[in-house]
Amino acid sequence: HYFRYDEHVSLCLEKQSSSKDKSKAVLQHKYVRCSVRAQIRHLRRVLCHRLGLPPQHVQILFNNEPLPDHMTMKQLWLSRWFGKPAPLLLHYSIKDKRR
Amino acid sequence: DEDGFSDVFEFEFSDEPPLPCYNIQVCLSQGPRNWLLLSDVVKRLKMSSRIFRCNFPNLEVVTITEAEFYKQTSLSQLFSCATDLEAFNPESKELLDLVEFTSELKTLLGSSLHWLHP
Repeated sequence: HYFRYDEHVSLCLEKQSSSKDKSKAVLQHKYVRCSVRAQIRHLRRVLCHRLGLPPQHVQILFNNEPLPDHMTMKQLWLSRWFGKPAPLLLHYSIKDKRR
Repeated sequence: DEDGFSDVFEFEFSDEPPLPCYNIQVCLSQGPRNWLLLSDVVKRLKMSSRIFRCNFPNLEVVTITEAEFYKQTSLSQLFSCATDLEAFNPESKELLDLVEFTSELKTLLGSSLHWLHP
């Protein structure tokens, strides 16, 4: 695996605004670039780490729809963003503790 | 351990929209690698290309014709949006300078890097 020679995708991650969410965690750097072979679960792990949250506390959404963990960035781009300019716009939400 | 290092996913975080990155094979002895246009890089760094090349001699710069650049980039499914390629002329024999998109260059451009073992 030589991921660094892969094609890369550019993403823009906006926080999903929700009145229930009182957490102050917001990404400082909202633009992300990574390999087309990275999966949603990898991105979730990285976001949790950067936001100082325990694993599995971040959900990634496209148009309010949670994305499956094993979807790759290439699948995401081709199915939701084909023909559109970079970066691809995603949202993230922080799950509350009840989950 | 170079192999171990290549095995991780690198996530690049930035405040500004990232410069476009092009996956291009510049010679037959190597596979495709990722490159930025030198003109994009020096514009963002507010530096001349001469000063850039003097200050960072370790960053590889290669030259490619605009036509070859267009041919390879337009084959990518990620560049399916017409506006991403409209600045380039598919017939042009002009030369473009590409700079290899290494972790060092990412840091230089102000990005913060995050590595993850899959």
